[in-house]
Amino acid sequence: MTGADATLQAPQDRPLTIVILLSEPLQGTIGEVMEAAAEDYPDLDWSAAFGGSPVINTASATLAAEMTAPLAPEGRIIFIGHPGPCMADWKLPLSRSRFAFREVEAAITRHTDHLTLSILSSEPGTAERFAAMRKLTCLGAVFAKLPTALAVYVEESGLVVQPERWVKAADTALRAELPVLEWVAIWSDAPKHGVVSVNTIGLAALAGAEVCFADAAVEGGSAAQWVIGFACSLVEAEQPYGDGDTIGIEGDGMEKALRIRKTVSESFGGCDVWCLIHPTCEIDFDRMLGPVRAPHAPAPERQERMVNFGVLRQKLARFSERRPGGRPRQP
Amino acid sequence: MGLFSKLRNASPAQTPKLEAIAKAVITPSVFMIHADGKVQRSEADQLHNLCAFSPIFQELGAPGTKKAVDSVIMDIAAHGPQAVLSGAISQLSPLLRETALMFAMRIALADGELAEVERAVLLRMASEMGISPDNTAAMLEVVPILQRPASA
Repeated sequence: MTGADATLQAPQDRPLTIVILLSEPLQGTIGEVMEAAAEDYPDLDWSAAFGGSPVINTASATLAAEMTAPLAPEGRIIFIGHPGPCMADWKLPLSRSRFAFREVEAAITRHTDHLTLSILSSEPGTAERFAAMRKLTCLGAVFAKLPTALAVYVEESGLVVQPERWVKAADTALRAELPVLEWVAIWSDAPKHGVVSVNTIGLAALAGAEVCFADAAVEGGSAAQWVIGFACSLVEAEQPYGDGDTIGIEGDGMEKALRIRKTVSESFGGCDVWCLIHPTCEIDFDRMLGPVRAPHAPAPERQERMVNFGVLRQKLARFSERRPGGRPRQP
Repeated sequence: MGLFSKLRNASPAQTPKLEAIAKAVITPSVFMIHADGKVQRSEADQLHNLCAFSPIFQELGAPGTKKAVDSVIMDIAAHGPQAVLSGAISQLSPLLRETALMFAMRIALADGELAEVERAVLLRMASEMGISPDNTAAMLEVVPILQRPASA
């Protein structure tokens, strides 16, 4: 890790991209697709300015056929039909899909064609990326509903999501919430001596930074909930965190609060990373990142502000309710 | 080749009703039973046995399964076997197409033998379902193992 002064930057040059894995070639017109999107998700604006109604045909070309057009107000929308299987490195998706390994493996091995959908947001800000994510999730769901759709592959996180899960993710996105488990990989190494670390993969595409829960003696599920809650608050609420802030749950007191440090990490491809530092974390972030702040130590005066983490608590509750066996969410 | 508009209309709500899926799964089997113009007792028994052990039909129960079989027979009489088969295939996901073909293979092998005409029908159905020749061949190797008689 290097200095902590890097400003947060969304990866504005990269469009958000998902890939629909198909069991057979697909042919249709962009007009049909946009009409279907407007029919299924009328709350969103689907007026893309394609000239005429170009054809998507994953079987007819030996090279990818790309169609791109302005999509108000998000920026540009891009369809690319590819003959043949998607040539991604599938080792990572398989390792990140441990709970649906067989379904993911089947989708990867069986797909014969694929269709890439991208939206390039007009601005790099988190709000614009969030709007693009919502629309792309819904557009992906239009294809995920087809009986020939085997899975949706999210390039940034390496996740491969079953079609029915992606359709539910679109419902979540429509409520202006981040379908976090479909868009962002939550990665954790095997605990060592009771110490766990958890980090996101793919969040930078939406929030301009990844989140890492630094090694601490807590349960993995608890660490993951902190990471998920923090990630959601970054994307959905654009919570203005600062380096050295503390976060906690109301009523828990400062002794249970987590320190936040912002840094740039080569381990994360050189992108910005928010580190969540639990009181039991023994890593010397002062030494690693320079100036002052350390877990437990009083923060500098200007940073001694405890973020009232009501937003996080709501996210944690929401995540708990989503888990299998959790209570259904009240409307 | 799947047409977007056709595929979309084939699955308007993403989850076709269980009854429709069940009918589609057994259509190739009923197609096989009727392929030689007569319904053999062994074939009908085999179909009921297959359904009894399938999670798809367990949810429907025996009366629902019988109703589905009868409905496919009536559809074939009304619209012809090929039209009903094509409609059924469009209702099924790629995985369930394999299940349906496996059902049909077991029906074809209910009497312990696979006639050339039956093999030809199965291969044609597999092709129409988009199942690769390699997968079809593998399935055709497995089913006779299940159908071995006590004297084998």
